[in-house]
This record gives sequence, C-alpha cells and structure tokens, in this order.
Amino acid sequence: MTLLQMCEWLESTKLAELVTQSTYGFPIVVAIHLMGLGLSVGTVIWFDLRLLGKVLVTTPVSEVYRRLAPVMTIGFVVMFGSGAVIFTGYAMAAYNNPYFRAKLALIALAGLNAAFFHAFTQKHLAGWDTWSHPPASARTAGAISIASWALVVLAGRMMSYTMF
Amino acid sequence: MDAALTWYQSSALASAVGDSPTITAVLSAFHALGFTFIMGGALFANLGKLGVLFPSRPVPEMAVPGSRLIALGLVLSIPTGFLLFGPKAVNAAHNSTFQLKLLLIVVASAVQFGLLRRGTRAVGALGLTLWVGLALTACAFILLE
Repeated sequence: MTLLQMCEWLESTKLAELVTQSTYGFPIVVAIHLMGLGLSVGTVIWFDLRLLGKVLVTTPVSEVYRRLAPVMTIGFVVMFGSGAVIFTGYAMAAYNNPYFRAKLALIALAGLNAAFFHAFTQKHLAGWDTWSHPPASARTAGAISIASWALVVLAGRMMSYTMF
Repeated sequence: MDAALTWYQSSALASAVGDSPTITAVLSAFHALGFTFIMGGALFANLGKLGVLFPSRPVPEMAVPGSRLIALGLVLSIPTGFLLFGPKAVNAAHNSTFQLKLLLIVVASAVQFGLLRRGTRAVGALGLTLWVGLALTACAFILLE
C-alpha cells in the first residue's frame, strides 16, 4: 500500500467521517489541537530557554526538565493525538500540501534534535547540570528546538489556509 | 462605532488583507505563534505563582520571564489580529464570542501585569483561568464564527 493509498483509506474510515461530517466534530478537535499546542510547545520553550541560560539559571537543568516533563508530555500526547484525528479527515489534501510536508519535516527535526540531546549531550549532564550557562552543545539544542517548534506552528497555520 | 468599523472594513488595508489568501495565511500564522507564546508564558508564570512548577524558587523567577513571553505574544497577536479583523470588522465586532475574547485580553493582561507580582496564589489561579478562557474563546471564535 502506497502512502497515497493509505491516505485514501484513512479518509474512508468512520473517524474521518466524524471529523468532516459532524457539525462540531472538526471545531472541537481543532480546539483540542490548539490547546495541546499551547501546553506542549508553550512548556518545552522554558526548558530550551534554561539550556540557553536565559531563565531559572540557579536551578539545575535536570530539575527544570523533571518539573516540566509531565506538562510537556501531556501537551504532546494531546497535540499529536488530535493532529492524527484531524489528519484522517483530510489526509489526501494534507498529503499534497507543501506546508504539511514542511511541518512534518520540522517535527522530525525537533524530534531528532531532542533524541540527539538525550542520547549524547545529556550523557555528560552531571558535569554541567548546575551551570547557569550550559555548554555550547546544550545551547545549540535549545536554539534548534525553539526555532523548529516556532516554524512548526507557522507551517501548521499556513497549511490550514492552503489546504481547503 | 459602526461608522468607524464600516470605514475600516472598506479601507484599502482591509481589502488588501481580505483579497489575498497568502497575506491572510501569513498573518494568521504569526497570530498563532503569538497565541503559543501567550499560552507558554501564562502557564509558566501562573503555575509558578501557584507553587506547582518550582515551589522552592522565588515567584519572580517565573512571573517575570513568563510575563515577558506573554508580552511578546501580545506584540505578535494584537497587530496581526487587528489586520485579520479588517475584512470582517462589522460582523466580528457584533459577535458576542469576539467581544468576550477582547474583554478577556484586557482583564487577563491587567491581572498578569498589574497584580501577579504582588498578589497571593489566588491571583495565579485567576490569571491561569483567564488566559485559558481566552484561548478557548479564541478557538471558538475562529471555528464557529
């Protein structure tokens, strides 16, 4: 099954019908998606700013992460879950939309950046956990994260105006 | 008031926005980015004030940068929102959801920038409720207008 065929199949599901046909289905899921966006990106930005040495500079990086992680996780689950539901209703249009493709690429960049940070940069966290200005590798991860999530938001909104 | 709204709606500026899907999309994208900053700042400042996020840290360590991020969000959202409002100014101004949205922006900003640093934890709860209420009202206005 090709990606395009998968999109066609998704649009034929009951869930897709619920998103596109019911009066309040689409508005409610989009509202949940936007709230998830505020909760996830709105929280991850504070961890990124700590990595950049801009906020909570006397609090260890590990503690900032530990305190923010539950809110971030809930936000990302809500955002990706509701995004997947919206996608089922408009999979074909999204597949052909350049902003949707850019959005996915930017989400992948943010994900790879986070994975690289956790796999490599964070390994030596004990050495710089309490530094007010973390090392260049951590600051770079913070800057990439802020930039990529901001671009995800911009691409997401551009997508909704060019898809329908 | 209606005369001013009609004038703005029929102005060249409002027509330029209304006639160009690209301009509307770009404005809406930066409006959404502003929304994200406002939500992020509101969560950080008000959950900090409530002692939920970093209970051992002084409140200003969260309230000050949180309020700054909200201010940045407002700087992005208000001008873009004003431009997006142009092509539908008359109808939007008479829409009760839009009126509630404007009221919540004013009240939430007054609580955030006027009371948060001095008030008790209850101010944090009030601030958070107002900003979340604003976000929900904004969603309702976009989707149900």
